[in-house]
Amino acid sequence: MNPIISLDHVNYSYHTSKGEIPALSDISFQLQPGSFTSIVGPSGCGKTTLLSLISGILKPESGSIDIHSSNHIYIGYMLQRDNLFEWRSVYKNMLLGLEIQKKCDKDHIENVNHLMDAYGLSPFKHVRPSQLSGGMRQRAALIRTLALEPDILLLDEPFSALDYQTRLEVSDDIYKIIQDQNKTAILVTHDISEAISMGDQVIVLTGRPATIRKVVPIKLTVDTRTPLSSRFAPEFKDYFNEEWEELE
Amino acid sequence: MSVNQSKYIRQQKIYKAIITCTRFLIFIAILILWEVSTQLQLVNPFIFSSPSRIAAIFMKMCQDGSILHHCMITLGETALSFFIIIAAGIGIAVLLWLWKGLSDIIEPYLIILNSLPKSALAPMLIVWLGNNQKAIIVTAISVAIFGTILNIYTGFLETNKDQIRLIRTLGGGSMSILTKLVLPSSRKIIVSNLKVNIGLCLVGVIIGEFLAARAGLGYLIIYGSQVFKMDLVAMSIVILCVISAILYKIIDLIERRT
Repeated sequence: MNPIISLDHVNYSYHTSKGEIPALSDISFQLQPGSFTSIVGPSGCGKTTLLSLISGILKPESGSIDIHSSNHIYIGYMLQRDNLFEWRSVYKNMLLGLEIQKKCDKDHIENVNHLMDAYGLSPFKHVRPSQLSGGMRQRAALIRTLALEPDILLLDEPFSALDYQTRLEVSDDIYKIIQDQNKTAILVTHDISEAISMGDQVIVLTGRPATIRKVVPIKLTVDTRTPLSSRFAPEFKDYFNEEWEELE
Repeated sequence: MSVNQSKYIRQQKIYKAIITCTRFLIFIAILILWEVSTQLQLVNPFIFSSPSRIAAIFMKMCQDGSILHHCMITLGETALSFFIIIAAGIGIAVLLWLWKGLSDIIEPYLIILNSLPKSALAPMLIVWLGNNQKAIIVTAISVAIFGTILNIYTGFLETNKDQIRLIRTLGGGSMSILTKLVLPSSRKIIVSNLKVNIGLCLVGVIIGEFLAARAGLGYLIIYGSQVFKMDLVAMSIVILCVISAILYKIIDLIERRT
C-alpha cells in the first residue's frame, strides 16, 4: 500500500535573538492510510513542533513533508486544551471551523448535528462551554475538528487535562470514531501506556533535538481492540517495558 | 429558607438601606449648609452662589429655552467626538495588530502623545482649525484617542496564543483570527474603555468650549466667570455633574449586557 504522508529528513529549529534552539533533527517516517501512529518522547522534546509541521502551520527548514493524494486533504488537529470560546455557545463552537472555511452548507451542518447526537452533546447545544465537564468539552472540541471532515487527524495529548477515568472514556470514543471512519491518525503523548493502547505503531523520540530512536510495531492479541481492551492484552506489559527502557 | 438565611438577607437589606440613606442625607446636608451659610451672609452669595440662586437661574433659562440649547450643543459635541474616538481607536488598533512593523515604528510616538497633557494642544488646534465647533471636537478627540488606541491594542495583544493556534489549525488566516477571536475576546476591554472615554470626551469638549465657543456649558462657565455671574457658573457645573453621571450610567448598562 502507498503511504498517505511521508516525512523525509525533516529538520526544524526555533530562532530567537538569544540563539538557535534545534527542535527536530532528521525525522523520516511514513504513514499508511487508516493507520494509527503514536509518538512518545520526553516532555519538551519537540512533539508538538512535529505536529505543527505535519499540519502545515510551520514549514520545515530542510527536508520535506509530502502528502500523497489525488484530491485535497484536510488535516485535523486536536490541541492539548480544548480552547472552546466562552463567548460562543457549545454548538457555535463546534461550527467554528466550518465558519472559517466557509463550509456552513447543509451537509456539513447535518454531519455536526449527527456527531452531536452520537456523543450526547445535544442537550448542551445552547449552553456556554464553562458549564460542561472536562470530558464533554473535549468531545465538543473533537466534533469541531471532525466537522471539517479531516482525512488525517493529529492528536496533541488531547487527554492530558482530563482525570483518569474520563481520559479512558474519551480516548475510547475518539479511537472508535477514527476506526469507524477509517481515518489516519497520529497521537502525540508522553504517556507510554496511552501510546501502546491506541497505536498500530509507536515511534519513540529522543530528547531535544528530537530524533527517532525506535519504531515499534504493536501487535496485541485481543478480540476487538479498543484502548481499554488493549491494556489487558498479554503483550502490553512487554511493549511497555521495551519503550520504558528506550525512553530512559 | 432557613432562619439563618433569612436573617442574613435581612441584615444585607438593612445595610443597603443605611448606605442609600446616608448618601442622600449627605447630599441634603450639603444643600442646607450651603443655602443657610449664604442666607446668613457667612459666605458671600455673590461669589459662592447658592442652591436657591442656582434653581432660580435654571428656571429662568428653562423658560427661554436657552439652557436646553447649551446642553444639546455640549452633548452633541461629546457624542460626536465619542463615536469618532471609538471608531478610529478600534480601526487603528486593528491596523497595528495586523501590521506589527507599523506598531513597532509608531509606538514611541503614541506613548509620548498619550502622556502629553492634552489641554496643551488645544490652543494650537484652535489656531489651526479656527474658532469653531470643529476645533472643539478635534480637541476632545485629541484628549482620548491615543489612550484608546494603546489600551485596545494592548488588549488585542493579550489574546490567548493557544486560541490563535486553534484558528490556524482550523485553516484560518489573520482575518479569521481577527474576526473570530481577537475582536470578540476583546469586547470587555473595549467596553470598559468606553467608560473611561465618555468622561474624557466631556473633559475635552469643555476645554475646547473654554477656548473656542459661543455656546455650550463650557462657554457658559467661562462667560459666567468673566462677567462674575457665579450663579451661571455653578449651575453649569451642576448640570455637567448630572450629564456625566447619566452618560456613565448608560455605558454601565451596556457593559452589564455584554
